[in-house]
Amino acid sequence: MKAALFSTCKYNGPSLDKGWPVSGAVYSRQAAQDSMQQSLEQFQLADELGFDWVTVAEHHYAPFSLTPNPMVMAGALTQVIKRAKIALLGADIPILNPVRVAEEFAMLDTMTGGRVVAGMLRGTPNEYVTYNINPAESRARFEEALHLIKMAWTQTEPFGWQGRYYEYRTVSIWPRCVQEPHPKIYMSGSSPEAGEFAAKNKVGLGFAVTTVPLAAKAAAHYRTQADRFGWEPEPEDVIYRVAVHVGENDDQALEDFVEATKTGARTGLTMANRGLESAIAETGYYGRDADMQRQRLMPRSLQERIDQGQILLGGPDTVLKQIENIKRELGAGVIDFTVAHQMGDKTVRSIELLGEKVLPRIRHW
Amino acid sequence: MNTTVNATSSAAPLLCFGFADAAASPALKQIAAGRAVISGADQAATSAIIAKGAACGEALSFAAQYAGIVESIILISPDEAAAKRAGEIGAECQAQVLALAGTLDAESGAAATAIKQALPSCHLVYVFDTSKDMDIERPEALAKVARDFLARRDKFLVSNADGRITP
Repeated sequence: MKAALFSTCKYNGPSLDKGWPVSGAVYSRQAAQDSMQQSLEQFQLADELGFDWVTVAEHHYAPFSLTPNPMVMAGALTQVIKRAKIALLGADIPILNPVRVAEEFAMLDTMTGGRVVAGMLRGTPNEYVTYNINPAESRARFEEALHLIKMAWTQTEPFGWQGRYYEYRTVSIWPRCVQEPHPKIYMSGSSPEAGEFAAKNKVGLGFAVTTVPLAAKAAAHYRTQADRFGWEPEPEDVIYRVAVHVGENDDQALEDFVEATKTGARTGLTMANRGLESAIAETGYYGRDADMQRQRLMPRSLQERIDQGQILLGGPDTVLKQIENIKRELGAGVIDFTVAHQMGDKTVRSIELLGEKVLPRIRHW
Repeated sequence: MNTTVNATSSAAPLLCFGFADAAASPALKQIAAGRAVISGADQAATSAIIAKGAACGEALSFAAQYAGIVESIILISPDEAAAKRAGEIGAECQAQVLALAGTLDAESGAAATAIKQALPSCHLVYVFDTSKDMDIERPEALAKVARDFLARRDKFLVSNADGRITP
């Protein structure tokens, strides 16, 4: 099993962290610089400790994340991450220019000598407001954009594209990817439609902001669909992203976490603005099992989050048991650890414990 | 072949190869944009020709025969034979060529790519989510690019769309 360290590069400074989008009225420029530096240092530490990947992602208009363009952060990472792969999980391709996405991935793959993992996501529902894209078009835009990106990576002759949502008269990207034919692609797979598309197109599947039971059901659907298309996903085709805080022992981990959530807890991006979420749901954004998709985004108590595999919390042995459960239920080959809350030295120690006590064990699973 | 020569104006007819009933094709009507739609190599040579599938090679031969008259050639879902014919004609092709392949049709994609490599004046465009019958599957998409090419030839690479949201 492979291990990744994911960070949204959260802003650790004063903010009116309420709703979405979040006001910048009390924004601290210095705190933002310090927060980004802290994330870079934690990624570097993960690389030194033997994490297989470091992961960045795209989120907009909130202190939850300072990487609205994860390609920029990944560009910085190419200069400090010497061994691990740099995973972008990912670019929200339906709201972006797909050719630009193809170019940026190819640049990063070239700068790292082929150490880029290409996550192609639809993004959280609120992201559609960011660049004024109709969320009803999300899935169709995603499917066309992904096809176009793969063509941009693999076609050697300049070509034009007459699509439904994208039109280019000529495309011929430079540089090209180092990995042949292109970096490994993942997409988010919580909905049945996503599992079916991933199976048909032989791309990997990632799960985030979900529970182990829901992800297990979706992963089983993906494997069934892959079988229909004549292939069998490898363990590494399934990623499970989960919040984590490891302490020296269970009591200390819990104490750290509870203390941190007194000041740092907030609702996830999507549900931070219920009115917006509801309006986006009405467009059909979630697909055919909308109720289930919305349910997985609902806030839960800490105990529910632990029980359902939304957070790994405890000493190394406890966390190992929780990971074992994820491996067993989903067959996941990559676990994408998310820093649950930035707690300074305690977070650094959590990453160290993962590297020293957890990774050596799960590597053989 | 008993062929007469038409004027090479923008109002010249659109000569079609490989369509079962070209005059009845909604896609061809959109592409022609007011031009007459005529069929077959026994028709008058004209500045604009369009061909589909197995007829693409014949269209290239026709254009080579009437070099200097044929200005624009649109090839829809060309086959391997057309790619071979393009290889034989090579740089001697004086017309601007638009080779169109559906993203669901690997055979046409390979042939269109080979045609682009053989003909310096060829532009390759993929029509998303179509196979060999893009004129039936996505007539509006085909018409949009083909009409623009006929009207502006290689200048179609440069957008002339009005990007303003409001004046």
